[in-house]
Amino acid sequence: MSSINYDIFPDMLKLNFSTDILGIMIRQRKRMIVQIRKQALLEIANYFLDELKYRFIIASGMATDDGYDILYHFSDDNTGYIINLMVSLERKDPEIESLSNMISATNWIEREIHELFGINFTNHPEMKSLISEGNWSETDFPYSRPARDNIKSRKK
Amino acid sequence: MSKQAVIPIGPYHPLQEEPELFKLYCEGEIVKDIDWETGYNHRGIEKINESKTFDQVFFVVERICGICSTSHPFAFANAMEEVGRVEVPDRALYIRSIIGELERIHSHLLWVGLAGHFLGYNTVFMWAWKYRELVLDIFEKVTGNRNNYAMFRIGGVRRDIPDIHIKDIKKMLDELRPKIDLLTGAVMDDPVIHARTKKVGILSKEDIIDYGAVGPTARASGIPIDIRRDDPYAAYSMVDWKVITSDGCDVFAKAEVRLLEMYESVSIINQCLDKMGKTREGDIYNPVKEIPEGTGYGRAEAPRGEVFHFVKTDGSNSPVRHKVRAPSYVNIATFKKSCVGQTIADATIILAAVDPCYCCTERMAFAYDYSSGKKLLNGLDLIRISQQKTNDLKKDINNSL
Repeated sequence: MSSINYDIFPDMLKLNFSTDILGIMIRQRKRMIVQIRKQALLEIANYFLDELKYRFIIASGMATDDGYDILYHFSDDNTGYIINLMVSLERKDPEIESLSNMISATNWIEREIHELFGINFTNHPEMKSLISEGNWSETDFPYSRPARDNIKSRKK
Repeated sequence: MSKQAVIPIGPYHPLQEEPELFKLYCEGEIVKDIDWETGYNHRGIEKINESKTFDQVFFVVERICGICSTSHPFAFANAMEEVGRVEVPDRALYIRSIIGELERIHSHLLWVGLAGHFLGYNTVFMWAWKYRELVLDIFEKVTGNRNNYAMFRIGGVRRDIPDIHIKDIKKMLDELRPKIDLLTGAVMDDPVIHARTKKVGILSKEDIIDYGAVGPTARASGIPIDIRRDDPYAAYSMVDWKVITSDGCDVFAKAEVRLLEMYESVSIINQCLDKMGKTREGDIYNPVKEIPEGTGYGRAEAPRGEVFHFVKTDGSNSPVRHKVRAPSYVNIATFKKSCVGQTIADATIILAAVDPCYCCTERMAFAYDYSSGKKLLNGLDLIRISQQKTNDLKKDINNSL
């Protein structure tokens, strides 16, 4: 596959997924954050994996003041680009569709995010404990508060 | 209906180095399914880092893995330099690459030794680990430590390699090369190793893409991904080298990729040493005053594959969020494809083939009786127990046939 022209990539995404794209942030060379509506995650992830042949690296959960963010990091190994899909979830009963029926690589990390943040992944094929088994209670989510709240010594 | 038996490997299996439990569901001699339990070594490092300053984080991430202890600081430095837009002096880039490649050699040698041990070739094990000492000697000379080198900082490295050491290091590398030849010959030409490892633990290209596997595991299935080339960092774009791949897809291909990669590493180190000699001694870092708000993505090709660090900062002196993805996280998940349908006897070498580094470095060498202070079990006892267990297993399998 010929490599993707990243100069027109943001426009191409907006053209294909118009209202599902909430914003595109480019702060550094070869890095991009694409903010999307959570309902469009499956469709856009499918486009990344199937059409653009990106490799799924990992997902990072993050607790924010209003709820949670999940960043799905994808790598374009032909060009070295890292494209991140970012979805925001509300604090109460956070829920998002699982990608694990599409690709096995997300199986573990979705389970891990569930255990650490309490985010539910719907339709996950194998939703059981990965790392918390016997380590902490199933209703206790150790990463669910923003870092700022926990640390008093942080210097500005 | 045949009866299904469960064979546990781990969680604390002396030959496994690190804690993780694999359950092999077997019918007769064939593995029908595999399940695992992880988290035995979950130390909450990502959360700990939120309360550490950026300089302290280097020392924490260095301890994620004891074998590839430089790859995590490497990726973290890349991430931080991306957030802060920090330029690193050339000499520091060369030193970083030298450390990274030395680590690759010692890690691959360690793997060759362990793989030999799993296959019952203890001579290979002893040779490989003996020659690995040469690399550790170089490390001791260059960094002062045999492991956990503490070389990295934002903007450069902590210690210089003085020009007078270049000659010595090259001499040691020259000594190492024939040893790698010896091991490569021993593995590549041995018919028994061929019989044990070829067509064993097959991972097709589709499996690799599905599981997102990286490093030698992916390259042995003909997928040429290598972060050193794809998203160049440190000095890798300034030297000549090639990505080693193999189309074998089996355990043998993984061994082949690792063995041939060691030659590339030696060549990279030699080139880096030559080029480093032309830069100014002592110019090893650019001071960094503050790190602005932002996000950074650091990647480094560890011996086992791509290490990925995601850092979010808020302008303060510590990260708001720090996500670490070690290569084994994606590689271990491929066992579900490679192990199922194989025999129990092959399971250990298949598990070892991706060079799993479970949660890294919680080694159990001694068990103490606290009341008397006596050693109950030392390392040798554990190996003896393990070999006993292997023998028992062998007997059981023989009896059941």
